[in-house]
Amino acid sequence: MSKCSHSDVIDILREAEAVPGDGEIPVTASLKELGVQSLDKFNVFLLVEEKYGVVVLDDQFQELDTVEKITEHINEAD
Amino acid sequence: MIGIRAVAGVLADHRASNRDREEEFELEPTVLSDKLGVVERAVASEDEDAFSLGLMAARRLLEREALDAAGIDAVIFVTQTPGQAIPHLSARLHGALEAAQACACFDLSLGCSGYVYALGVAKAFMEANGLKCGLIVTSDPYSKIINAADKNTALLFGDGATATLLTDDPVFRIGTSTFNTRGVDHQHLQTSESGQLEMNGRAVFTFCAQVVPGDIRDVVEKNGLSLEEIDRFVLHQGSKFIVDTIRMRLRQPESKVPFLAANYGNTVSSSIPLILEQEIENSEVDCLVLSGFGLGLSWASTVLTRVGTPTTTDDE
Repeated sequence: MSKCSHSDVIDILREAEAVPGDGEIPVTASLKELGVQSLDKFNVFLLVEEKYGVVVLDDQFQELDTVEKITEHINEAD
Repeated sequence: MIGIRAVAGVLADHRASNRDREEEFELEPTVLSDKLGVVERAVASEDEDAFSLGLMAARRLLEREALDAAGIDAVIFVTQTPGQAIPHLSARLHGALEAAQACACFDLSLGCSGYVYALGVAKAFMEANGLKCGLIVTSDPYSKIINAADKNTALLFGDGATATLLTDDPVFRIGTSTFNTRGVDHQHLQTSESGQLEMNGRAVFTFCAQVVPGDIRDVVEKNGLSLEEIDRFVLHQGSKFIVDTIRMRLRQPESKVPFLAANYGNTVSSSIPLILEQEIENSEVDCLVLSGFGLGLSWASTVLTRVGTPTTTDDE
C-alpha cells in the first residue's frame, strides 16, 4: 500500500491555501492550471517534506507540477 | 534597567514601482499584492548611503526627544553595506552628531536579525558598564547591491534607516532573547564576487517557515508568557508571503502580525524598528514579540513589555 494518495496531496494543496477549499482537483492538471502560484509551491513542498520526510530538490521543483507527479515522487522515495 | 525609550525611522524619498516590472518578470496575477507584498520600493538616491540615512534617522530621533547628543554614551550601528568600509560608521555618526568623547561606538555586522541582536548586545553592554543613554542605528540600503535583472531580489528590498534610543527610563523593557545561527546554509543568501546580492528564495523561505515559529514559541515561554498574551508579533518584513506563513503556523490573526512594507519594501535590519516606531505610540499594545531572520542564516527573537505591565520575569 502506498504511503501517499492523490487525496493526501490535494489536502496539502488546500492546507497551503494554494487552491480553493472546495471543488474538484484533476490529478493530471498542471498546478499552474489550478491557480497554484510558484511561491505557493514553496509551501506545498515544505509540507510534503514535513509530512513525509521527502525532499524536493531545486531541479525537481518545476518538473513536479501535477498532483499525480507529486504523489508518485513521494511514493517512490525511500 | 536599560530598555527602549523611543524609535525614529526614515525611508528614502524616491519610490520605484514594481507594477512597472510585472510583464518583464512574467509575474502571475496578484503576486505583488498577495505574495511579495511589495508594490513599490523606497530607493536611495546616488548621494544617499547607509551613513547618510542613518544620520538622518538619528537626528530625527534626537530632535523628537529634545535630546542633546552630548548625553549619548553608546552608539551601535547595524549595517553590512557601509559603503566606506573603514572607519566604522558609528564613529562617523559620533562625529557628525558632535557627541561626547566618553561614548562607546561600534558597528554590528548582521542583516535581518541585526536589530534583535543589537537590542541584546546594547542592553547587556550598557548595564554592565553603567551607561545610561544609547543609540542603535540600523541602515542597509540594499539597492546599492541589488542586480536589477535578478527576479529573486530586484522587487523585494527597500532603503531606510532607524534610530532607537535606549535609556534607564524606558517605555519598553527588553526581555530574554533567543539567538540562533545555521552557518552551514549561509550560501543561500550572500553577495557574489561582484558584490551583488544572491538569494535562493525557496531555501530561505523553507528555513524561515521551519525555524521561526518554534523560536517565537520558545522566546514567549522563556519570558513566562503565552502566545495569547502577545499583542503584536513584529516579524522581519522579508515578504508578505513569509510573514503570512509564519503567522498561519502560529495560528494568529492578521491583526496581530502586521505586514506594513507594501510601499517601501524589505528594509533588512530596519524592518522591525520601523514598525516598532508606530507600536510604541499605541497604548493598546503592551506586549510584543520581535523576530528577525535572514542571512547567516541567522535568527533571533525577543519580547518587549511596556513598563508598568506586570511580567513574571521582571528583572527590576
